[in-house]
Amino acid sequence: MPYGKGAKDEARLLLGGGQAFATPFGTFYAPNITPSNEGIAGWSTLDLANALLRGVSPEGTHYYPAFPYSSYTRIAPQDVADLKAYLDTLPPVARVNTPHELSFPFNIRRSNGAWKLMFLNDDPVIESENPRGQYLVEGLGHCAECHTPRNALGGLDRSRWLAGAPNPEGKGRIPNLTPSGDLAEWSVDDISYYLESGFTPEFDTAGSTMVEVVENLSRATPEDRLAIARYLKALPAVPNP
Amino acid sequence: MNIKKTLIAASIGLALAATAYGAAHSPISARQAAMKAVGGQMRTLGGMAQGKVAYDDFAVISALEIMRDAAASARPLFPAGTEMGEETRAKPEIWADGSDFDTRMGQLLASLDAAIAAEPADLASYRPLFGAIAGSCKGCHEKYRAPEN
Ligand code: HEC
Ligand code: HEC
Repeated sequence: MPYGKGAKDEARLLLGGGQAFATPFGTFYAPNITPSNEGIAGWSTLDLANALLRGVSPEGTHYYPAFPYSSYTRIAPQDVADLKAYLDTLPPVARVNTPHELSFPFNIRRSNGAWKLMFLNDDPVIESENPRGQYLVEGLGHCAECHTPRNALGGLDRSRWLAGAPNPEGKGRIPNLTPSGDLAEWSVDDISYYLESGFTPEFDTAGSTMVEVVENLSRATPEDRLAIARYLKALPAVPNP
Repeated sequence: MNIKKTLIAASIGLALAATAYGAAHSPISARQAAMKAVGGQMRTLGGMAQGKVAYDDFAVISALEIMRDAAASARPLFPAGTEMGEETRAKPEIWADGSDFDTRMGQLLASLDAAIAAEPADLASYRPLFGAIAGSCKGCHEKYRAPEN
């Protein structure tokens, strides 16, 4: 049974993995990150830091970039340590990981090492006078993993940063968050209210995979939501293709 | 955005319009017009829940009634075979998941009926009723509505 997706309340904390992520390279299944033998019991804080910041497992293998370490590489060491301490308090789930279903050549894990040389880079993506907003959007919030298009190798296209992307689930497009998109008409408060409540300024409700993101951001502080909104308002404009 | 659709929904914002429109047009444009009419009432209902607009019980009940009729008219407009075309954002899972979609439509209608019957007299009694309605929009859009193209 997949944990996570659509789970409410207490069930949200059963991080046994299993949620499927459809991508052009195949289907990925989120792993078990609970403190159980099937999960990450026995990992040190350094192991978690290597996984999040460098995409390397304790056995030294490279994770597939569907695990958003190209964003997480920007996470501050103290936040990794806090995250580890928190994960250790969660209920263990005994669920064996589902193998990914990938097409050639993406099914060769070794190619991820080369991929990282090309795309793993913790420089700030844009110039910003809003370090908190930048940290949350480019790092922890991993907004670009959905809102930025990818090149043929699956790397994020920094020239179209947060400018919208095909929807990996099929129909529709992930919206453009730069001032060339609908957000041009939204105020900083409108964006921050959307991230808290899921309501657009017209009171349409967020749908699709953004619902889960809003569910999580509704637990962030108001200051953090405002910092994210200010970062988005200051993005370089990139028109829709 | 289709101008005709916008005009029809905006000029009256009534389910009646959506129904009349539905008789002459495909189920896809008809359900989009009906959903737009549902959405149109959220401005009143959401603005009050948010505390941006002073609470007005009469305006709330009228908005709820219009929304109820619009939602009821949208319910039968998702026949099998309408997952493609006319920029529909309806996801194929609607038809793949059996009766879950229709059950959710039923839950939206039930939450609207409950709010109308409760005749909430003040903001405190209105807010949880609004929360149940908004929760059913979100839950269904999460599973069954694709992002805009
Ligand atoms: C049972 C599922 C369901 C529920 C409940 C639901 N919706 Fe929808 N809604 C949809 C689907 C599916 C579409 C896409 C229809 C299409 O494009 O064919 C949609 C479309 C919309 C649209 C876009 C209309 C357009 O084409 O311009 C708005 C606005 C909307 N819904 C508002 C709401 C609001 C507000 C609520 C709650 C009060 C709500 N919906 C409840 C399924 C639902
Ligand atoms: C899992 C994929 C995913 C991630 C991660 C994600 N988003 Fe989204 N986002 C979406 C989708 C899909 C939509 C369209 C929602 C809809 O159809 O209602 C969206 C919509 C939005 C919108 C509304 C745009 C509009 O024009 O209506 C904003 C604002 C937004 N996202 C901000 C963010 C921010 C900020 C982050 C990072 C904290 C983020 N998103 C992370 C998928 C994602």
